[in-house]
Amino acid sequence: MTTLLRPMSLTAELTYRCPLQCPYCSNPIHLADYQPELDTETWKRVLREAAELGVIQAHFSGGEPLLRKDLPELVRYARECDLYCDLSTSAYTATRERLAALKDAGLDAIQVSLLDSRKEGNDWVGGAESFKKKCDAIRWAKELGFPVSLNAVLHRHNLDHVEEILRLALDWEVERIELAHVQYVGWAFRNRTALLPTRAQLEHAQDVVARMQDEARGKLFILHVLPDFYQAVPKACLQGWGTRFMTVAPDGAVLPCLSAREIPGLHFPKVTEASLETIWFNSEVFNQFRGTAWLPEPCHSCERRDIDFGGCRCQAFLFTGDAGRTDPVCHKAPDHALVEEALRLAQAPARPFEYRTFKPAPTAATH
Amino acid sequence: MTTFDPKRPRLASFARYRWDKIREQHQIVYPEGVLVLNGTGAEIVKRMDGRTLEEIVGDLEAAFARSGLRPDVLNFLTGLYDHGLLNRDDPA
Ligand code: SF4
Ligand code: SF4
Repeated sequence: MTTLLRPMSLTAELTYRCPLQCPYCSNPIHLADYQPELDTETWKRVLREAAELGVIQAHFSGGEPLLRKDLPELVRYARECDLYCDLSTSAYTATRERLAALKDAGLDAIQVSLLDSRKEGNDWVGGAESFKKKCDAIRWAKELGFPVSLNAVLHRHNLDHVEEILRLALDWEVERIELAHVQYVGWAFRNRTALLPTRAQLEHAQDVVARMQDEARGKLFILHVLPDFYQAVPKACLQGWGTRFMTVAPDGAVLPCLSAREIPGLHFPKVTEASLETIWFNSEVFNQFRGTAWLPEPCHSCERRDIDFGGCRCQAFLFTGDAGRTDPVCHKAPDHALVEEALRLAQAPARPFEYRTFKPAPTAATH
Repeated sequence: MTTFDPKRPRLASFARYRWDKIREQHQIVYPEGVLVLNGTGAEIVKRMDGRTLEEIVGDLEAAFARSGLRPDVLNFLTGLYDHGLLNRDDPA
């Protein structure tokens, strides 16, 4: 049993700083509250403890992890701990030298975010001119021998470009592309009316992706993660709370899910207060939604409870104000009408974005 | 998938074989996940180092004193391929 419960994946959010301002960023709204950042030695201890606890993969992410000067040192150390290391980057601050240093340190793979197939769209959504930098970084990464995967986050403004996005990936000869629909938590929840696609857009995109998957077979691996909004049942968020994933935030807070941090009433212990092992097995927050015993109705007596564990806790909280309720995405959820309402609003012309910012966030609610 | 017949099967560049000493498992690790291998799968993967399919089958048959392993090996490779874990220079 304890073997089953060991985490497999650590997301090391090295910093919340980022030169881009994506309106669907998964970082918390009140970015400025979570300082200072952990120092190099503490991160090394975290990586070692993670490996000892059973973690297999270390995902270096952020914010923009390239902003941390010690990134190559941390990657090298993580490889010494026998962790598989990958980097999630916007590539905005990438240089060939920095990527070469990471290669030398043993980084296994690079994932670059792509905001749109078109320069104007990409630069508009990220709030900075990043398209050209992404192109350069992908070329350098390929030249250096990195496996490169693209992460294209989809929403109403780029969903119709999905074929173009896939053709870019083919042209660039990257190994994989993940088409991931926006998760409506954090900044994305604030911007949901501006970002949610229509059902027609989604259906069209699904056809295009299926066709392209055939065409690209053997050349490009296309992973399409469907959005849960237009489905009858929720996704198995995190494959279960406190089951496989853990995130360490820039300030050392240990989170079961990287967007859970702003759920009021949850206390996230820091790596400076206890070991990862103690936090994983014994902390209140990791046990709170673990397994299925805590589930409310209708989940508790539902045949899918061991498949989706009642869905996403963040989504439940954002819609209903209570993280312990059934994910309102589920057609059986008592609060499902709230999701239907959000989808109805999404059919209206898009609103302007509220870009992510490090400044104290405005308190006015968006709903 | 009857035509699937890679010449020199190798793992995709982002995938790595590893032995997990805590879980006592053979694994293939890649950015989005971990594939747990059984003993036979691990024996195949360890031989995917540039050898041809026929060499791999031959080596396995010799090592385990068995014959007729080609369909099993192909089956396993097809599974890897469908996970996107086979090098794409060895197309179906
Ligand atoms: S989603 Fe955009 S703003 Fe958020 S960390 Fe990634 S690149 Fe930066
Ligand atoms: S009722 Fe609960 S367990 Fe059943 S499908 Fe909906 S969210 Fe999942």
